[in-house]
Parts: sequence; structure tokens; C-alpha cells
Amino acid sequence: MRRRVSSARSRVGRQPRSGSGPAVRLRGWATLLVLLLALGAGPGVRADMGIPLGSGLAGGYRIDLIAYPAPLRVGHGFFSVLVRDPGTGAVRSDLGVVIEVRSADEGAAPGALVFPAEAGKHPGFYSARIPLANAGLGLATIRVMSGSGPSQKAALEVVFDVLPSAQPWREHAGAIAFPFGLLAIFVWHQRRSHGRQAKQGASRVNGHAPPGG
Amino acid sequence: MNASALWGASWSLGPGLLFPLVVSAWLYLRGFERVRGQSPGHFPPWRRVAFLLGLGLLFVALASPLDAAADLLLTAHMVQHWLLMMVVPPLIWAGAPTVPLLRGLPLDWLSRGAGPLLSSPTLKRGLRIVTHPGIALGLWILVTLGWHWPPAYELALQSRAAHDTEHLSFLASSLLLWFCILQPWPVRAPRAFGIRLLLVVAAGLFNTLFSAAFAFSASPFYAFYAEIPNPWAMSVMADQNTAGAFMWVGGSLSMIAAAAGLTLAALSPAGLRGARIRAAGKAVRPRAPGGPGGLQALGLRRALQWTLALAAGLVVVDGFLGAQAPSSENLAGVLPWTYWRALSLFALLALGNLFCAVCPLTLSRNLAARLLGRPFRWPDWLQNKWLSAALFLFYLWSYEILDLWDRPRATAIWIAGFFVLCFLVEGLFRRGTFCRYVCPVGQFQFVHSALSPSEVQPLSPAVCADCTSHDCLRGNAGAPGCPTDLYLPAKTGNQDCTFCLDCVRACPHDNAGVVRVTPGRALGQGRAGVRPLGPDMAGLTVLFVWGAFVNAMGMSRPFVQAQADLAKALGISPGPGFDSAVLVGTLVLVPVLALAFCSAAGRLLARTSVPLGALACRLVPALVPLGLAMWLAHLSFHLITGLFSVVPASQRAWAALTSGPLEFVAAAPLGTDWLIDAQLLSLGVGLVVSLAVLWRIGQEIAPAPGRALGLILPWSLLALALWSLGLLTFLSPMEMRGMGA
Repeated sequence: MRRRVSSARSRVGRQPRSGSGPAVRLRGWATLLVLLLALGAGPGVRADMGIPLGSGLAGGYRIDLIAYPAPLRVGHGFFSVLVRDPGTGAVRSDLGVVIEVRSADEGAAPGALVFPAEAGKHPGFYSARIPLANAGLGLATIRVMSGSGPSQKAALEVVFDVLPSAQPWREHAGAIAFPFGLLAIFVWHQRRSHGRQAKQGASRVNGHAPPGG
Repeated sequence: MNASALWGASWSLGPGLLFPLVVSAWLYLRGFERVRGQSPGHFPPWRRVAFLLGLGLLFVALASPLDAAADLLLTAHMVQHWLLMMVVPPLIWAGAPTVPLLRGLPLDWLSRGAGPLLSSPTLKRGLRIVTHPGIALGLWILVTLGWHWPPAYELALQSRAAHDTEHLSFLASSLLLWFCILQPWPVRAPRAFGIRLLLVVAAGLFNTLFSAAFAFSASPFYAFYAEIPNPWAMSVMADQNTAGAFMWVGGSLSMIAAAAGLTLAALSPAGLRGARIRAAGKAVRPRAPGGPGGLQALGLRRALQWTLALAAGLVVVDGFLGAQAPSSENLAGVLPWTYWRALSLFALLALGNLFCAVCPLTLSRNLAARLLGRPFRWPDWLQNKWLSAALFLFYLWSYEILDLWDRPRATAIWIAGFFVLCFLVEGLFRRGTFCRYVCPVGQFQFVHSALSPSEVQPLSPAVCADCTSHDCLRGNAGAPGCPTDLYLPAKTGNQDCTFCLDCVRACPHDNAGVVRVTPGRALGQGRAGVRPLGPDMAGLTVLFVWGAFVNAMGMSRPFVQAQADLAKALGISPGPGFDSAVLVGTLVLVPVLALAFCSAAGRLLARTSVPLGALACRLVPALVPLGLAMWLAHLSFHLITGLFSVVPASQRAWAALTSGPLEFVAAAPLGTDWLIDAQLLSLGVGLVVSLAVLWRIGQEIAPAPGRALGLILPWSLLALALWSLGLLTFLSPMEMRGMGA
């Protein structure tokens, strides 16, 4: 009986431990790969604030235009406008701001889309979410209207570039890769569960080994 | 720009942050109550306050206007980082969250889910390494320096993904550092006081040197802030020096507080023991298992039923008499399609089959019985789910081909027809016949409530074993028995359970109730005992799963185009006849062929002799989570994008009723940028749960892992194919039915 128990123990001892050796390295690399896919394959540049597109003086105001994402792509762009008094630098949040967007490419239709900009997420900025239908050069005209009426208009024109839209699978790569990460955890869990069950089974056999050879 | 204007700026409220925070808080509070009862000395109330304050400040750091200001000012960004690195982590560890978070999980999830993972030697070894004081401090310094290196910092300012990674790494490395400093319970052998104090001093020293570099700098480190205008007219250098000064003061305060706390704790070891003894007298009694038992009160159930009946009445009246176009301004175009479908699914997943519990159709059940006398017996050949399946197919056909969602009058006819049908069936046949054999809505709820977290069950099987009256089935003077003939001790899962709780009210031993269960545990089992489903149930299930995808694909441009191309290739002019043939073919022929192939291939790979039909019936339920995820993602889209559509619809209905003027109130649109990601995540979870259930059923059929894997391989590929179709649907441009190309 003693021989049986010790040989059973040595057999158990010789079995590769669950969670060690090449399998661990493989799992580690697989997890790292999924993480990299989820993080790295996401959108290249997608900031909240974006980058400055242009700035200048118009009608007694200093106007700054910032766009997100950077670079702009076909889809939607967030345009943020900061209007200040050039002398004092005081932010003017009591004005009406309108953003007109048209294509600046040669041969493009002359029509412009007009969007009223409202107080946005970023303090002091007026923001508008603007659909960008086509890739190419675009022209944004920022019109600032003072309280005294539309006659007191100031306009700033800024040319910008719109790139083709990112592939949607790249834009949502994290959410697409998510189930594979979850699946990796599930596989790990199952291997652990089976390993534990096997270990418990082996210890039961050791504890209740029948007498005799 | 004053502070109140800054605070009033919009907050970034998205589910990506809110969801994990709310779930963490919920789990912690749930677990805290449990462990406090068992170990009150370790869990005084201030721990709860600290943990929740930590989560709250995490929310403030990442979602408040501070996050918006951080895009414009280095100082605001450093305040954000200070919260993430020096305030939130110690507060979270002060809550000793490890045990409460684990105990907050359902017991089954803890023992069979988290248990095997947390006992992994690899994981333990990894945690031992990263929680070594030297390594934790090194990581923290490396992460801090790395992300403040100008190219990395500017990348984070221009890329949302990099910014999120930056914040995540700050939080993770700081949690490690503060874990080493605070050594929260249940650390078995806390590090010596001297080592922990040394860690505080070292981290404080690094923070001082690092902050000084900013505070006394003479040139800007980050060009980004020079380019971006800020509304405070703060110069780049003033901003940078202020940021350095803040980091210096803020970081030092955190470290001084930590050192003082550690010293006090080390000097008064008897304090904790005394607190343990004092708190032991106020142990919290463990709670009895709960559930949505409020519905047990018949009055509440009736009130909800009448409320829904009133809503259904309004829908029918407005559908018949109200303006037919646009349908989004008619209650019949909004309440059932935008709200009811999605909300009943949410309730199903959060609590249980609540819709059937408060179904207004069954209100007229007793009146129908009195008027019509229930003279007939439901025919044997209809005692299955085929009729429900046919009615569901008819519903999908009318939705797709007749544009039911866009026709208020047709919707009203459907609903009124349902009430009439229920009245007739319940009046002419046995009580509950409509629910069990006819109602497709009920069947939809029954099948998907396998993924609900609650079931009506006996509280003690021993009491049932001694019961001779079986009132739960037969009823008594106080309450009728189960309308769908479920015998409670033999009941498995939620199949055919309307959650009416008649059995609970009828049980003379108070031995029935709503209990929490692991969602999905009964998938693949019949309504009683561990019996596989019959072909009728399998057919119905397939229809629900395929219906989820077909219903969503119908509004996706590639599929609409593919259908038009098919008609062109066949030389058939597109129209209702062709569309109906395609729909029925997709809903019936395609799944039959796919399932036959999967069963045959699986049987071959697993070398099993189980008949093909039985194999298909056994494995089909595993696809339910994927189908439910698709329904959820699709219907949530309509709910969220049309969240306020009830406002114009009810205003128009009210104006029509009172002949008053129309005064539409513009409702603020809800930001939906996160919606596609949420849909994809939902679909991903559905896929993984389906694969997990396939694996479980596969092992039941063929216990050897290799054979089980072979058995489920074709089915897993089928699930992957359906998931891919879902991805394509959600990532493609939308094309609503009836809106033209």
C-alpha cells in the first residue's frame, strides 16, 4: 500500500503544474497580444480638445478655432471656438457664434452648411458637432454676432484638410477585441478548474487507496 | 473665466466610466454588509465612507469639468493626476476592498468563477512580485517620469486612447504603491513599519524633486499648451510653475498624512483590538435571501397590470384615431417599439420575467372564464410551442414586410388583436393556456429569462418532500395554483414561469420564493428536471436567435443592398412577395441547414452516436445568449436614440384630445458617441457566454475534453459567424426600412 501511495504521489508530482511552463508563457503572450490589439489598434489620434486649426483678428475680436479629432476625417468633427477681446484678453461668452462649412476643392458645389455653436464641454469655448461628408479641403467661416444685431458681424476664414474616414473596425477595435480577451480569461479559468478538479481527484485517490497490491 | 462657470461646464457622463464605478460600489456595499456581520472589527463604517469617497473622487477626476480644463491648463491636468495618484488610491485601500468586493459577488460566481482564477499560482507569483516595495516604488517612478516625458505627454493630449492608458497606468501603479504603504486587511504578514515609512519618504522625496523641476523651470516643457489658447489668459510659464507648486504641496500633504497615519497606527496597536471588541456588540445580522419579492403583494401586481393596460389602451386609441404620419409622433409608433421592447429586456436581465408578471393581457382572464365557461380542452396536437413559433414568425413578417413599426394603426390592430385572442383562449380553454401555448411574447420572455438572475423556487426541498397538498400546482382558496402547470419541486429554470407568484401565495408552508441564481445555469434544460428540449422548443429558440439578427440586419445598408442584388440576379422585381420569401428562407431554411451541418460535423468530430435531432435540440439553447445580446444591442439603440420621443408623441396626443395648440418642447438629445462600442461589447459578452454554455453542454454530452471540443467546434464557428454578422450590422451605415435607398 505504501508503495502505491508513494508512486501515485510521485506521478502527481511529475505532472506539470497547472499555470507553469510553456503554457504560461503562451497565455502571457496571448494576453499581451489581446491588450495590444485593444489599445494599440484604436484610433490614432482622438483627443477631446483637438488641435488649433487657425486663429486671427476679425471685427474687433480675437478668434481661435480648434478641431477634434486631429486630423479631421470624414464623419463628424467637433469645432471649438474661443472669442476674446484682443486688448484685455477677456473671454466673450455673450456672443452668437455660427460656423459655416463648405468644400474648398475646385469644382465642388458652392453650398455651405451652417451650424450654430453653443457653450461646449471646454470652459469658455463655443462648440458645434459638424458632419464632414467628403475628404479634401474644407473652408470654415466663423461668424461672430454681437448683441447689437447681425450688422455687427465678424468673420474669420480657416482652411482645413479632411482625410478619408478611418475604417470602422479600427475605430472600434477595442470593443471588437473585447470578447477575445474575455475568452482568454474563460479558457484560463477552465484550465484552472480542471486542474483543481484533477488535483482533488488525485488527493482523494491517495487518501482512500484500497489496501493490498 | 470664473470658477462657477467652469464648474457649470458639461460633465463627461458616459457608461464607460459610470458602469464600472457603479458596479464596484454596488459589489462593495453588498459585500461590506456581509463581512461586517462576521468581522466587525475590520470593517468600521469609516471604511465604507473612505472607499465610496475614493470612487467619487475618481469620478470627479475623470468626468468633471476638471477633465475638460486639463485639456487647456497644465495645472488642471496636474490636479487631475494628483487625485488619481495621491488621493484616490489611499482612500480605496483604506476601505479594505478586497474581501467586500469578492463577498459582494454571488456565491456561485465567487466559488466557481473567481475562485479558480484567484488561486492561480501564476497570478499569486505575479502579485507578489509587483507588490514588492522596491518594485512598486520603481514602477510608480517610471510611470510618472515616462508619461511626463514631453513626446509621451503630448501624445496623451492628442489621443484619447493614449490619454486613457496614461490615466489607467497612473491609477494602477499608484494602487500598487499605496498597497505597499497601507498594507490593507487581509494582508497576512504586513511589511514592517520602517519599510512602509521609508517608502513614504522615498515617494515624497521623488515628488519633491519632480515638482521642483516644474516649479522652477524657465522654459515650457510642452509645446501643446503654448499653441492651445486658454480662456484664463494664463501664460504657459505661469501655468507650468503653478502646476509644479501644486504638485509639490499636494503631493507632500498626501505623504505627510500617510506618514502621520502610519505612525499613529504603529504607536497604538491596542486601538484596533479595542475597536474590534466594541464593534462586536453591534454585529449586523445576515440578511435572508431576497429578490423582487415586492411583486408577491397582489395589490402591487394588479396596480402595475392596470397601469400597463391603461398604456395599452392609449396606444390602441391613438393608433386608430391619431395622426398616422410621422409615426414617431403617435403613441403607437413610440411606446411599444421604442420603450416597451427594450425596457422589458432590461428588466429581464436585471431582475426576472417582470413583463409576464405584470402582463395586462391576463387581467381579463377571470371575466373571460365567467362569460365563456372554459368548455373546451386544448387539443393535444397543439400542446407544444409550434403555434407560438408560427405567431412569432408572423410578427417578424409583419414587422419587416408591412413596416409595422411605422404604421400606428397596424400596431393598434396587433395589440387589440392580442387582447381579443387572449380573452378567447382564456375563456374557452383551461387557465394559462394562452401563456403556455399561444403567446409569442411570453415565449420570448420564457426563453430569454434563462439568463435572468432570479427564479421562483422552493426555499427548502425538504419541506416540499413532506408536502401532500401540492397547493403550488393545484391552488387553494387563497390563491390559484400555477397557470402553466409547473410543479415547483420539479421546476428547473424559468421556462414557462410567468413570475405571477401564484405558487408563492398558494404555498401553505411559506416555502416558495424568488431566489437568486446564476444566469444561464438552466440553459439546455427543459422546464422540469434535467431533460433536453423538444424540437418545438428548439425551433422556437432558433427563431428567436435568428430573428434577432434578421431584425437588426434589415436596417443595415449592406444587407438591404444584398437583397436588391439577389432580386436583380434572379430577374425578379423586388416586392412584398420576394421580400417575404427571402425573410422566411433566412429565418427557417438557413438555420435548419446550418444546424443540420453543425450537428453532423460535431457528431463526426466527437465520434458520438447521439441522434442528430437530439444533438441539435441539446445545443441550440447555447445560442440564446448571443441572440439576447443582439436583441439588447439593437433595441437599446432605439431606446437611447429615441429616449425622449414620448414627449412629442404624448404632446400631440394630448393636443388632439383637448383640441389645444401643439407646443413641442425640444428635448435635449442624449450623447450617443459611446453607443456603437456599447453595442459591440454587448454582442461580445453574448458570444463568450454562448461559447461557455456550448462548452458546458458539450462536456455533458461527451465528457472527454477533446471530444467535447470537437462536438462544439462547428457550433462555435456558427456562433462566431453570427457575431460577425452582428458586427457588420452595427458598423455599417443604417438604412431604415421604408425610407428608400
